[in-house]
Amino acid sequence: MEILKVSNLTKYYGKGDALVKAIDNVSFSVEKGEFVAIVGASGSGKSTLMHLIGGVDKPTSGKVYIDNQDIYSMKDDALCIFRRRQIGLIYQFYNLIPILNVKENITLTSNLDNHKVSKEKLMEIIKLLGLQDRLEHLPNQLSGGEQQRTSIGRALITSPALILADEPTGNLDSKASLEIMELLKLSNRKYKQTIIMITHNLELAREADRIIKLEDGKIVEDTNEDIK
Amino acid sequence: MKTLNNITFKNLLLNKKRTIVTIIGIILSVSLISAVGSMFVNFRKVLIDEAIYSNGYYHVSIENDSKNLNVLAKNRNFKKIDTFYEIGYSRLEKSQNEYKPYLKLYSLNTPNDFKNYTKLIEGRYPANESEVVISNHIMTNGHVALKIGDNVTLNLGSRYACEKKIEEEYYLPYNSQFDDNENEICDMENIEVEETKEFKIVGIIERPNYSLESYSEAGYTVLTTGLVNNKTKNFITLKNPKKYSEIADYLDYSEFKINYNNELLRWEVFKFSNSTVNLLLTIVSFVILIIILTSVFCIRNSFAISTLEKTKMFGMLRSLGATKKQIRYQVFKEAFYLSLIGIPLGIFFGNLASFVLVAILNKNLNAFNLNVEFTYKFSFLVTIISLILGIITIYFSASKSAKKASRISPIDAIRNHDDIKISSKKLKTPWFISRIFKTGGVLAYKNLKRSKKKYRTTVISIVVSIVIFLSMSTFIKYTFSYSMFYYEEKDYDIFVSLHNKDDDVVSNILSIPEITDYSLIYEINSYMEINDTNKISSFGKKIFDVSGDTLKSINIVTLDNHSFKRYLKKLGLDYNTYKDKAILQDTYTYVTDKKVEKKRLYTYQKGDVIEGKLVTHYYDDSKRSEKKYDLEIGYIANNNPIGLSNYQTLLILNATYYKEADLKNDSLYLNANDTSKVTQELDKLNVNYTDYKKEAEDSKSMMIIISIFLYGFITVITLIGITNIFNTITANMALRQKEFMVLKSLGMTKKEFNRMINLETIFYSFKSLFFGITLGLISSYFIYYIFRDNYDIGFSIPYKEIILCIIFVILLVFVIMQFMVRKINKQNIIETIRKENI
Repeated sequence: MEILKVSNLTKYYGKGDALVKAIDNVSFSVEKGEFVAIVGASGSGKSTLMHLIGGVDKPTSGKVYIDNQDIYSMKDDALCIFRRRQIGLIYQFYNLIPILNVKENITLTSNLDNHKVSKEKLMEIIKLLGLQDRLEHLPNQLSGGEQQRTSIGRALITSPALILADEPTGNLDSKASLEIMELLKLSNRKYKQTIIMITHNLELAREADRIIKLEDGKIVEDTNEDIK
Repeated sequence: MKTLNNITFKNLLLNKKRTIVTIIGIILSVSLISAVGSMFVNFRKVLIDEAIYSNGYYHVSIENDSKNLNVLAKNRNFKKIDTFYEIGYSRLEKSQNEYKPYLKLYSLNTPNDFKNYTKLIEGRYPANESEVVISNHIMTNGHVALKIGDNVTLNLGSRYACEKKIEEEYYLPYNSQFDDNENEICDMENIEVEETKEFKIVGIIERPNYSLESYSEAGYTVLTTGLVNNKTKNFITLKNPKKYSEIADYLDYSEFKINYNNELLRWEVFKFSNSTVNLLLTIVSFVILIIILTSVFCIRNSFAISTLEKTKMFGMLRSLGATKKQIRYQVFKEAFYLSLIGIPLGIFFGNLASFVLVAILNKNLNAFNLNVEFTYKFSFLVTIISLILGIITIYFSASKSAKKASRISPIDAIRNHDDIKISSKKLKTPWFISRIFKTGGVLAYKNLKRSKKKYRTTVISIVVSIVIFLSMSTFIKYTFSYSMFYYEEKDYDIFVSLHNKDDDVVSNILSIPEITDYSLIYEINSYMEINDTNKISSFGKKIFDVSGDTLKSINIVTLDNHSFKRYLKKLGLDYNTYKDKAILQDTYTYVTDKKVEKKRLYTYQKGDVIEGKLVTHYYDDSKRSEKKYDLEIGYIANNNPIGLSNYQTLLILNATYYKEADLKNDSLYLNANDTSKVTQELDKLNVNYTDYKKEAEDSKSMMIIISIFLYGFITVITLIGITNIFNTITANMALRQKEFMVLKSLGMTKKEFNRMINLETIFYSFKSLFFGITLGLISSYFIYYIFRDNYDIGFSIPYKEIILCIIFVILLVFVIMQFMVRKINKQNIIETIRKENI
């Protein structure tokens, strides 16, 4: 089942001589349960692509369908609500809310929806993330790895259609990086969670089911295509 | 260092808003200090000018009856001595003022100095010893017709009585048998003529000031030049007025009578009684302290925010090798640039404000009863003090931030740890907040509870503004009501003293068309002595002596028919029933520290008959008479007729029906629709009067001016407060941009986001209001307590002002936050997050 379809997506900055084609007519689709890694050199447009897919940036033209919904035809509020329920965002710099502890940060997206998370599900995710002893801690009391695990928990809690992870290990040491990758793979296998991950690290990218390579805003390689 | 300087300067330009807000804060505080100082200088100057206008420019006057003027001349502190030689008295025939039957001739032998001590109305000053100028009140007060060009012959000499020379200035008419010292004077005063001189009148001057001609002086002043005598009045200007008291140390009191020109010295060298000095110093210090505290608070806040915003940068600089000292220097450098603009502008605006205030004051001069105008004077001293205080304020504000900035470690900056400590205690959100306000409310609540310090400055700014506003409003309220109390109590406009005036004068006065009503009171010259002292109440016995002698007699006052009718109307009584009845007013108000008691002094009831003795002319032995008398009480009143203080216990009777009274005119209370026309006529009739309406109006003008100053002061302090609040709120919001964007990226709608912000606004507005109003009430009560000694109208909670505070604070905070929310809502989510991550 197609969970994501990107159709002729473009993102241009500037005009005339200063025109920068960050994303240049990109089209592809992702099946439910796939673990996709998007790779590319610095400036290739991978973060821009992810932000366009996540609905946190606006494309110059083109469409993005998530779960058959054209997200850019939605009004602002509808998109917000859609995003909180169907898209989980994991950032390179964690971006936890500083005044909320681990538990509160994880349940934040559910709370925004006025939806009370079932205790079992919460404990399951917390156990998965290994954060049982850190529930009352505030972000400034956590290590980088713990913060990133919290942000993964935040992304997982609503069982979104899609998890978008932008360089999730970019700020971590190799041990923590491996832990995070394991967690992502685990949630992909266990919950059939569709994950799209940006990384510049080819080794980590190989952990994914599929690799899409971007160069100058265009897809130059797609292992799916290759296989096909 | 050059690079670092560039960074500081560039930062100031980049963060224009923050820079401008800080400069505004500096301008406000420096201008306030400067304006306060400048107005103090201007007020002092006008009071000095007024003193000089009224009395001439001198510090000390010394009367000397010997030839020892050279003793005075030797004093090194004496800058100038103007000697008026007292040539002698001369009888003024036909003077209609029985207390001023003479002319008193002085000679000032430096004709250029006449204008310093007198004001020429007509003609010119005398040029030689055969010319004189005369005071115009010889004509207006003594009613002797003299004019320029007249020749007068003065039989000059000293005053004698009982063969003794009279040294006192005042005159006692023959029918006063005793002088104030209870010495019997045996015969009428007379002048022992020593010489006769002829003079030509060349000019007319206004009545001289009291130092030359005192209020009780027996002779009208006449001035000439070129003559000398032993007796002198010397007006001395000092080189160093501060050392005025040293004069008394070396001059012999028996030979030299020293008088200080207190009106001038008071303002030139601040010669006050200790309590006045203390009071003034307290007020000024208090005012300046408030200004500095509020300013330091505001400016310090600006620097704190600025430092916080640059945490990453400072950390980066430290990681690159900048020393702590260099970082500290950055902050001070920033302070320096801001002062360079802010302080001079502050001084400029402060002086401008002072200039404008002087113009306003000059438009309302009647309030001050001054003969001179206010002038704006630029004071270097005030400017320098403002400059120094401004620099000190900014230094203290910047120093804390400088220290903090220097302590930022590279790793703090890189790790992006929140600068402010967040409490990590487990925080349970009250159920109603999550139930009613949902996640937005929970976030708002947690924000408040966990980042208390961030909001502390905003909360404190609001609290301080509220406290000052409430205190000042209370202060103004009590100052106003105190004066209103004094003037509103009077239900008449003009009081005329009729002592020794006969009925012609009264009918002349009453024929003035602008008078709308009047109350005529005859002299109180009789009383009832009661037989039965049991009729004195226990309250009366308690207040006055136990033996009750004081209360054995009740004074009797008679009113003319019209006035009695008016009094009855005031009491709500029918004229026809009570026109010939006696009314007893014996309610007495007894005030102590602890309480106020208002009770009757007697137990007489309506219809009772006072049995006793009627004593008339009790102060004049030759006329005094006593007889057995019974007086029926027609009514018991608890207030007196117009013009009589309610502290007087009286029997009030209608002169038309009470024939025992000796009707001597005493006082007249007038109501008028144009008091100035009435007073003009009264001047012509040569009666003494007090225009209370004018005094009340003047007092009201004064109150308006004081409130302009006080409210102006409050406004500026509030502006500083608002600047501060604006600063802190916008900074807090700006620092949380990333957090807001993350929330939005996670799916918080605009509505939910706005709700969260609104709730935060409400939460800490209410917190500020709670503390502010509580402290404000305490401060108001304290002010009431200070006023209480003079005048107690009871403490009332300033509800109106509190409501004003509430509305204003909520509105202000709401507007600022909405402004920021709108700004944040416009921003691109991901760009903001990225920017913050760089």
